Amino acid sequence: MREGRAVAAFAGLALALVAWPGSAAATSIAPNPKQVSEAFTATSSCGSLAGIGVAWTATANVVSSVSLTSIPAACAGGRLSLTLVGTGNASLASAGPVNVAGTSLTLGSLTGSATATSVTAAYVSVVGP
Amino acid sequence: MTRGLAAAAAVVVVSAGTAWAAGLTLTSAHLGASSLTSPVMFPVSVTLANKTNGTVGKVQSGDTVTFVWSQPVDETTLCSGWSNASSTQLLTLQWSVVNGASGADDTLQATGSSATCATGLHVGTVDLGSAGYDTGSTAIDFTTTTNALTVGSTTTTLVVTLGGGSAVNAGTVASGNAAVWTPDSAVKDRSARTCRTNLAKSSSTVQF
Repeated sequence: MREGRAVAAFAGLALALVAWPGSAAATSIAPNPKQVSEAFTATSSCGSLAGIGVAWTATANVVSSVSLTSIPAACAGGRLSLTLVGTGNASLASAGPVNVAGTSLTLGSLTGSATATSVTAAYVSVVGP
Repeated sequence: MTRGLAAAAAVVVVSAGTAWAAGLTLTSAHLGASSLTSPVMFPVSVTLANKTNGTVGKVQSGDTVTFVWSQPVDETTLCSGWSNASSTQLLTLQWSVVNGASGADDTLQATGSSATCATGLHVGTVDLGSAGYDTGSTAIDFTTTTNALTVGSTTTTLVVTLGGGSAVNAGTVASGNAAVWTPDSAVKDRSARTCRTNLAKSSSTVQF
């Protein structure tokens, strides 16, 4: 499907060039890169991440560390990242990526400052193993 | 977040077979992401304060401890005799600094009961971050501690003012660690949610 769209796009570009073979605007156009191709590689999750439990430690209403439990065992060896978001899915703080070594994990170093009572959700991603 | 992940996935898809990216190797077939439910009922903060003109680092009558929960609590789960009909409660009930066994940190907790709170006041336990607050082998009891609860529209605050304590075994701590409040699992908010394993830490490393 993507390959089809790419072919169509290039066909359109070629048609445009052909339609005005002598136009000044097109004479300086040189396709770069000269080769375009694509491929598809299937990926899958290492397990259901939706079941991961989230708990945190708050210091003066700021999240200072986050503990995750029930990480799928198959994710061991992967790299996990976490983002805490507030209203409008605005990012408040994030952590990782860190290595997953078991089914639980504590993220003690967060970038940003998340007011605990402003957090509306947490997003987690795992790449690998 | 979803857009970012989609973009990352697109890069992987596009680059996997391009001639100019022939040096790239897709090393993982696993890529997953999910939205998780963040805590709703949790301890927001614990603040231990020295009384006016008190000795810093030493627990004394007049020192205060302020606990804040993230939700309006079901007051009956804190104290069996309280009712949600009132947004404020005032109670005199004993708190104690309990000596940590084998050099463990001392803890602060409600240890008394009363006719109103027959099973006690279910606030939880505060690890004080040092073993030096109670230098004896027995607890320092504050028998006439006042407990003032205020339930707001979005949070709940309990101010504990220690009273009636003996200073015999009270040590003075010069340096320690942050205090950690582990809420009582019996306490629930108005939707029956507990604090689960969420914790709160003090900003200060020397208490009182």
